[in-house]
Amino acid sequence: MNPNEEIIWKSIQQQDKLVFEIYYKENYRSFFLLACKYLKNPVQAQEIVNDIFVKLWQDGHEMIIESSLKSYICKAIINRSINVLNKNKKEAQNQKELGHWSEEGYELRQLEETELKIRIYKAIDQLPEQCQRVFKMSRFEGMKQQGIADKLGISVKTVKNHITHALKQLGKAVDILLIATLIIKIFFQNQ
Amino acid sequence: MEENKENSIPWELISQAIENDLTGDEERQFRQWLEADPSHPQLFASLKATWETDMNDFSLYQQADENAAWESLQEKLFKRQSVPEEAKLIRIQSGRTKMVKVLAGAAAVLLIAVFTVFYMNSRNQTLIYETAGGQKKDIVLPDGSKIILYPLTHLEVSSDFNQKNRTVNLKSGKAFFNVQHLTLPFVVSMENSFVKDIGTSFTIEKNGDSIKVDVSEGKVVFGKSNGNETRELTKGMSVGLYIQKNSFGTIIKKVDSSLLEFDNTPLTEVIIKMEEVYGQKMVITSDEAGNRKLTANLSGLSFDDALQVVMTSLRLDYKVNNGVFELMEKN
Repeated sequence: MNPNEEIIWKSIQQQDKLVFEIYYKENYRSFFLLACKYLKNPVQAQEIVNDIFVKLWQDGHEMIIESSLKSYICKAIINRSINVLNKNKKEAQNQKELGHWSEEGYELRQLEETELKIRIYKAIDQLPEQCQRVFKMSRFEGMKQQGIADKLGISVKTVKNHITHALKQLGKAVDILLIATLIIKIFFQNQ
Repeated sequence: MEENKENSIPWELISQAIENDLTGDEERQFRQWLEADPSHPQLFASLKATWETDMNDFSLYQQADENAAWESLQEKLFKRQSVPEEAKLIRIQSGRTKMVKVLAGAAAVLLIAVFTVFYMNSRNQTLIYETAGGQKKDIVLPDGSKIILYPLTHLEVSSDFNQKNRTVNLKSGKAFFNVQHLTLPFVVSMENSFVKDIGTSFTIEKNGDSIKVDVSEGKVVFGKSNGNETRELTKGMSVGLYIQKNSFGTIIKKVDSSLLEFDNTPLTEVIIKMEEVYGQKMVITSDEAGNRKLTANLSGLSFDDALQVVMTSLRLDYKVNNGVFELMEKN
């Protein structure tokens, strides 16, 4: 556990509510998306994240966390999600995904991937309204530039400008070098 | 990314290449750029990968609401009573008379939201500000200080404010203060504690069991009313005072993300910032390595990832010796 996490963890063990709230709110989206990855169900995902935080708050004083706090929470999220899935007897694809669970450092890789996505999503969220609309139509709906221009009543040149702006913001938001590193990690992980 | 470097990137060509939309001439220009520097193909691959990242859960990200989730967690943990409907209405009281008029019905709520939220206690000349559920209110005090009252907040300002003192009373709820720095100190007084401002902006949230102070700018002193214990808070710091235990919690300092944005910064300075943010001890074992310069944004990265970016960018290696990260030239 790094010194910052140690301070946070000790404060949570001593039931410092403000520290608990700050830590929860700062990390909620990462933990929520991680749980959603398995459960595909936002209501269950929130419930699992909250159950883990209830346990941290109520039993923290007698818990020993040797790894990092984040890594402990990720493990707990994945573990509980798997239990829910097993209960629901999900399809074979989930089982394949769960096959990686026993690998060392699996939960940290999952968290890294989720945190990288959060950086990208934050950048998208902060795009100007029209630019975000163009980005979504291009990226999520797979629409061609001409189609977007026709639908929004703007020129193709403007569509291109919006896409260029969106790409620039994504490039700024994420460290390109880190992306390269993660691509390599994910590539090897999938081999 | 460094600004000059960013300006030299042909963003339009790259976005068109990603979209497979290059004309013959543009294709040639793009190839030329790719071949101009070995880092260009890597940059392009990274941007393309970012653009093509699996974003299936973006709508879930947008749905995620840490404040609503926290509310639900609080109810589980602290079994908070939900706010009764009438408490969402503004109570209109006259002076010290105890007539509490609870207005009912949607029309009344609308009416109240439009009308003033303060009234005057005629005996002690105190302005009382109250907000309803879902309502926010901006107040400008006679000294020019600004206050934003969040929903369900009760604040009192004496009519001689800015004459003998600059004290306001926060009875309950949450308020943001942006204070004018004057000789007369600005004090927010609460039941058993106070916050004394030294020219700054900050937020106080007072509920039944705790008082939280969060400083956005400048410096404040947060103390117990008997004056025997205080905490000095500067920008980015937060702390809670727990009323029943009458004790302060841990001071938490939010990391200033700009701390980890480096633009041609020598490694010696980079590691000072990294030590501050991550709390890890780092040393450089050679002068040559210390003079290397880094341009990167490490904000939001874990220590391991940040270290990896620094090592890769500056072609360095490291080993851990007694908990200290020793940075050295790559063999």
